[in-house]
Amino acid sequence: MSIAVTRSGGPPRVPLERIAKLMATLAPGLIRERTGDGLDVQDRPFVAYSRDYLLAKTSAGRNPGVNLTVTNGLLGSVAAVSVVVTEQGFTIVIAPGAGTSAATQFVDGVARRTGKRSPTHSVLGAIHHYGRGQMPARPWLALSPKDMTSLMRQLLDAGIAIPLRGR
Amino acid sequence: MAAADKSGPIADAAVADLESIRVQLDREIRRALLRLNTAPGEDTLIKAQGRVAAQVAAQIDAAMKVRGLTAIEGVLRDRAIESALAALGGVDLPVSVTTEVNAILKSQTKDIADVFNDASSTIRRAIALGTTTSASLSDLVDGVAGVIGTSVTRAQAAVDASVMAAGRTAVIRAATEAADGIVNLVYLYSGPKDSRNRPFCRVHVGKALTESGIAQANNGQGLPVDAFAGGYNCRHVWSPMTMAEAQRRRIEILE
Repeated sequence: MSIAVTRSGGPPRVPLERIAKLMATLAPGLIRERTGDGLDVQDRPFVAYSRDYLLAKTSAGRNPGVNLTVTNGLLGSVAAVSVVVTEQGFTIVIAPGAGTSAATQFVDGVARRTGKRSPTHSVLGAIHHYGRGQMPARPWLALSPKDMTSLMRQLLDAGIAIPLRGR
Repeated sequence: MAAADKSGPIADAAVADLESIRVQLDREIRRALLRLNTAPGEDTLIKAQGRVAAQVAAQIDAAMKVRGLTAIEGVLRDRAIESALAALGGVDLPVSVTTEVNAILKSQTKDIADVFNDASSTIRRAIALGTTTSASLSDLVDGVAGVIGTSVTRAQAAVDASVMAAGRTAVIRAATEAADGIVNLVYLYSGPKDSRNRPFCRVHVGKALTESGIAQANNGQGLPVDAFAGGYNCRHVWSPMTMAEAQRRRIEILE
């Protein structure tokens, strides 16, 4: 799974390639921080964890927030995986990585490694984003309105003012 | 920005590659073990087959090195470089990043070599014990399969640590290059804040460091902070942001 940020419009003062690279540098962190703070792509709190999972997670000393994080492997792997610059604009694709994390189970108030590895982070990300079985969707992989505001503000810090749209 | 594609742009190659290595290794070692003589019609290993057992152990040793270690090193290198490339948005790796990724690979390769050497010793001991006590061949085969499985799982952890380390390094280098001359960046120490945090992570999580702050930081593990953050298998990553944004958000900046 991935998202794409596209820039179009008239020629900016800073070369497009520099702008694209700067955005590719800044955007993944915004997604990580917002998701880590428990907010979805609309800046609303994620659907709560089930009572049993929350109890197990907090008993094991983990952060009780709904932040899609145990090992941080998923959020930590989010990066801009491709930056394509054309004469008209650029597209940046942001996605979780292909690594895996140690599969963890919460047993008797302790987080135990099962000795196996998780599915790849790209697969885990899709499961969280779209939901699966009894697990509700917790859409996280996009720039939320607040992420967009922060990104624009940071681009302005660099003297860049450009229109953006995403899909 | 509304939806996300369902298909991942990065292949899940590391997991598939390592599983394929495990299967090949397992198959080859089973074949080698079958050279050990058993009693006619039984599963019991015949005592005093020292020379055959030594040959089998040597064959397994070679398989662990070629099918296991060398193949996994290849996966490790490919995935770490892919991770660095991903962090750079798919552009060519600058020499500075390549050098740092190579240093990461060198240390991780040594870890994997240690894992496979341990596994080879364990298998050699198991063969020696099995052929002196007339143990069951199927028990020996199962035990050896378990050792191979554990080794590959440990190797997977090393591959993942390298992927993370190469990614962290490349993020900082890419950000430095992108921001050069147009804006000051800092790096938020991003990730979980819980009872499992190492002392270094507890102090730094939620704070931002300048590049020189990162260079001066010491995680007490003898590992570079830019690549390994709080240490081996650290869960934290660097999230670049402009210094002005960090100040607006009242994030403490460590220089």
